[in-house]
Amino acid sequence: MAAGLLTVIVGIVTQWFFSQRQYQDRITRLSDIQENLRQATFAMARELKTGRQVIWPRVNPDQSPRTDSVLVFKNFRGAIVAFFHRPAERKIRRVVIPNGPGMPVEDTAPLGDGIASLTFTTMGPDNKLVSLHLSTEGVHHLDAVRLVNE
Amino acid sequence: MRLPSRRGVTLLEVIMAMVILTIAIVPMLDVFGVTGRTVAKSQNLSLAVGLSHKIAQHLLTMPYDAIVDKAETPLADGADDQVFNPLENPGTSQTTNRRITAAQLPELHAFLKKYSVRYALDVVGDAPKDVKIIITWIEQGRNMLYSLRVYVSRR
Repeated sequence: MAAGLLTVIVGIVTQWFFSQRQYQDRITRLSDIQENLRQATFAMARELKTGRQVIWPRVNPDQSPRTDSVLVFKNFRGAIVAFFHRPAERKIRRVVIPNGPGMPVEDTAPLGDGIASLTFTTMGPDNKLVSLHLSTEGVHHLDAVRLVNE
Repeated sequence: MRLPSRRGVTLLEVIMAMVILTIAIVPMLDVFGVTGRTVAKSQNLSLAVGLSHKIAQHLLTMPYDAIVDKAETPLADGADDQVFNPLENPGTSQTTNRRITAAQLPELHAFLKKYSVRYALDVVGDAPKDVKIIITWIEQGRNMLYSLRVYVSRR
């Protein structure tokens, strides 16, 4: 009887240990997701807020917002920059589009990693407010950036 | 020849082991629970920071006289406010606007509804306006709050 009880206890403890390990893994993943969302937002906002003009997407003629997974804008140096999301890689990439002949140059490092979806929405009368919506595994992050330069 | 005595584990010993194990496990269970709650808390706080920043950026594009007090407004199923509703529009006219509703943005709607996320504006003074952006949500039955104060000048 004692041996039986001992087996039951060992079984319960083992099961509890593995379920807690799975729970701990889930929590760690959730924490990583939050960090990815924050880092990606910060990396995009840093360049975007000093930008001069959003080229794409543009507010609709009836002043309703317009959404796309690609954002093209002129940065403070006058270079044309695009941010876009690659769903298959779950990465946000940055590319500089030459203002004349030549191929776009993509940054080697991604702006964001582990991002399942991203949308850019232009809002406001002057097309200078960009709303960001990022999400991964049911965790969402909303933010917005207003371009400050002319 | 005398065989050495082989004692088994007695029931009393097993019961004592169970008691000791229980005493040891209960605090450990709590540690895992605390970690989970901390992550949930940081998730919601991170969301609130993003939301308040978004509102602050919108205030810079709003007509100065339109920046007034706003009562608590839910983000999910909220009325049109040009900040959160509509939130997106994949089309070319307002007929394709997407609001935070179960039908149009189901994932985001479920997420915001789960924590009952709301926002409010408390505006004091004029030139500049002292705007307090208040984000509230409910977490495990507790009312949570994050606020950000911004000053908006007449443009």
